[in-house]
Amino acid sequence: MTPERTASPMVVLQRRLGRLMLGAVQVSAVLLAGGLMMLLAGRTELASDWLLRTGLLILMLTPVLRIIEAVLDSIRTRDWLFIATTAAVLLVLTATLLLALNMARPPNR
Amino acid sequence: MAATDSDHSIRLRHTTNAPAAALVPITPAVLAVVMAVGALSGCLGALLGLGGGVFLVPFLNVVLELPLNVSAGVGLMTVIATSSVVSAGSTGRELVNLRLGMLLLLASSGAGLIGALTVVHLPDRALFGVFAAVTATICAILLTRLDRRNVILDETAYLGPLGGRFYEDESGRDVVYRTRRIPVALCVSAAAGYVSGLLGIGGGILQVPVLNAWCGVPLRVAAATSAVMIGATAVASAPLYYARGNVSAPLAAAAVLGVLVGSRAGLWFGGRARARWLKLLMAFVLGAVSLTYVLKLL
Repeated sequence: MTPERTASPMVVLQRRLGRLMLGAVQVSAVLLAGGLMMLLAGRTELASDWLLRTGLLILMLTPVLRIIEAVLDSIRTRDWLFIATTAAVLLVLTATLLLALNMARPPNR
Repeated sequence: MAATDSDHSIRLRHTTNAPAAALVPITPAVLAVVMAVGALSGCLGALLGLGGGVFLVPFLNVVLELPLNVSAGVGLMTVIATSSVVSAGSTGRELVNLRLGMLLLLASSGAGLIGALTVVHLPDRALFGVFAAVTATICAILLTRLDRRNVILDETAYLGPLGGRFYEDESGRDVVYRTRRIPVALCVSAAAGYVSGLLGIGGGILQVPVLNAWCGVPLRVAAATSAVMIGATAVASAPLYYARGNVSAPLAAAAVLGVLVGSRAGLWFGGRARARWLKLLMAFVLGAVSLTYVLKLL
């Protein structure tokens, strides 16, 4: 058993992030399970497609939540190394998202 | 698993950018198998901090004969799911070194994005070769460095800017560690991110052994920190696979649901297994994956 002790600010942050991510994963799991059931029932293809895709999108956003919260906390604690790295990671993920949106857009005719 | 027109199966329609994955038969049996393998992958992934992709991708590619790009797309989704569950499950145990994780994530996410952009220009045989080489290398590293605990029992020791402290069950007390060779960790994280972007297997496959064997990070800390990182690394690649239509939504959903169950089981086992046995298990699995891809190349 881990001895009881006062949680450090970083541990408090991790717990908060953990709850947030778990909630998002649970919502995603419900949507994915619902989408699969509808798909197997074979009647409401549009609805199942929507549920599956929304579930996957929420899943993909889950780690981004963690980075955003890490950025905010690093600003609060004024940890400059942490601020710089988390902000740069957020930039990379934003670039990925913009590239993906650009790829998914139908070409102009 | 070739599909025929007489199959009473639901055929998945991919978006326009996925010619290789134009038709995949989605039957209840296929979904059940993918879910079961996802559960096993999630369990092993959570146990070893790797993400389930390294086990699931070869299964989809070799056994179900899905194109590697579709297998990688599904693999990335399971890596994100494993990462989220393990990250949430390891909170409060002070095992995650978030400062170290974010620094290494900068290298791995950037490289992951490059990997996802370049994968379309590489032939399958090159990817199989990368798969075989990476898994064989890590297997060898693990087998030659099985006894690295990396913990410092003197709690007053200098930890450096990226060291940490955690309660270790094996010694029954607080222990500390110092992270060494940061440039090595950064280079390996970049390589791990690139491999993750190419193969959809999650960067943990490289990061965990190297952080443990060369950078002074205890295995449990390396696994927990890696588990947080691999999800964000996968997010640097997954949207591009999704936009290209390389993510089969029903297969990804089945695998993710399996992974969510398996990851919880892996966390339970992980708290009870000894580090040496975890390393041996990881080496055995990686050796098997490497051999599979060597055979595919022959």
